Amino acid sequence: MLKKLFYIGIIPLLIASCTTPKNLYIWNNYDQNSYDYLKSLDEESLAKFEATLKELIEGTPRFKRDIKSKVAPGICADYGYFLLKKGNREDAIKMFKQEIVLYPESKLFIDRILKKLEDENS
Amino acid sequence: MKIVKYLYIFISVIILSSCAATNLKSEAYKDLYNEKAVSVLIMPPINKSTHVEAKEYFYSTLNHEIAEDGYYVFPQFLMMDVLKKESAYDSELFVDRDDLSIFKESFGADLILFTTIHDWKKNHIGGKINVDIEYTIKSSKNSNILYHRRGDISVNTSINVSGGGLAGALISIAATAINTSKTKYVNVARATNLYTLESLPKGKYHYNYLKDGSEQVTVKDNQSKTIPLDYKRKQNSF
Repeated sequence: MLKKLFYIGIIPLLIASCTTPKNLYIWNNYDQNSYDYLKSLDEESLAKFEATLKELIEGTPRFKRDIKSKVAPGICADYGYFLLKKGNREDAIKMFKQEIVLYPESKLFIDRILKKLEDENS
Repeated sequence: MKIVKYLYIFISVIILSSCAATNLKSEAYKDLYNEKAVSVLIMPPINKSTHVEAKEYFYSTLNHEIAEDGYYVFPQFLMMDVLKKESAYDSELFVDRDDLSIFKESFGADLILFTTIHDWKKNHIGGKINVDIEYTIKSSKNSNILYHRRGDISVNTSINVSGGGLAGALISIAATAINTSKTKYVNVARATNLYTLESLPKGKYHYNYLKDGSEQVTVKDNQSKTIPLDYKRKQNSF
């Protein structure tokens, strides 16, 4: 009887897990925090959004073959952008370069930013 | 007798016009498959509705959706800054342009996504938020439209209290009204994106990249549809 109940419970669960698409990336509260910052553009919402980006970068295991372990597109570069705005140029450049490592198609765009930073410095 | 005949014709026309066309994905989006596009530049949405914040709801959720469909999406905030500095932040200036090659040359963007919010309405009593939205994806190579959807989407935020007769019904109405006003509109935008961009062929980073052409798709253009706030896509059957 217990076995029967177990199967009744497990089969719909298995079916449900087969029909829900797998996510490629981890997002946590990205949408809401991105919106809150976009709407208010204040220090508080920026701090919250930056923390979300940092969490996504540091909390996502990289260098694994599994595509799901990758940080989502744009996250590293956007985090670099906020670091740059705060004057942390060195770490910002690291983040920009990390974006190219993860997503080579960003190279043309990110190289433009890096070139601009170089020009400003010289 | 003649009236019955006209009635049949009238009903047939209504049924046929309400049916959305079903096609093989590889045929419906032939040009998009041929393009083998990797990167998408999401332009700031054009807001024609009276709800001023609608632009931000969509701008903050679209990159998530397109990235989950397997495309490289440019960093939202860094790109916003660059577009503003280069006087290219106004999507209205580009949406009807015949030449979008500047985005390919400057940023390496293969596709440009334009979004127009035509309307955004709240219905507290019915527990629905109606969004009339249009998505257009254009090639940066030749400005051809590779994907287009316009949908009048109602996102259902209602709460049903089962049982309780009239009292139960009144509680449901009150709970729905409160829920609609408290609903995170970011979730409404997400549900709308999920539904309307559902048949977009998958990009390079998706596990179904170039494998989804044999899927049957329903071309959902100009459709009116009610979807739940937690709308979820079904896994494709291939």
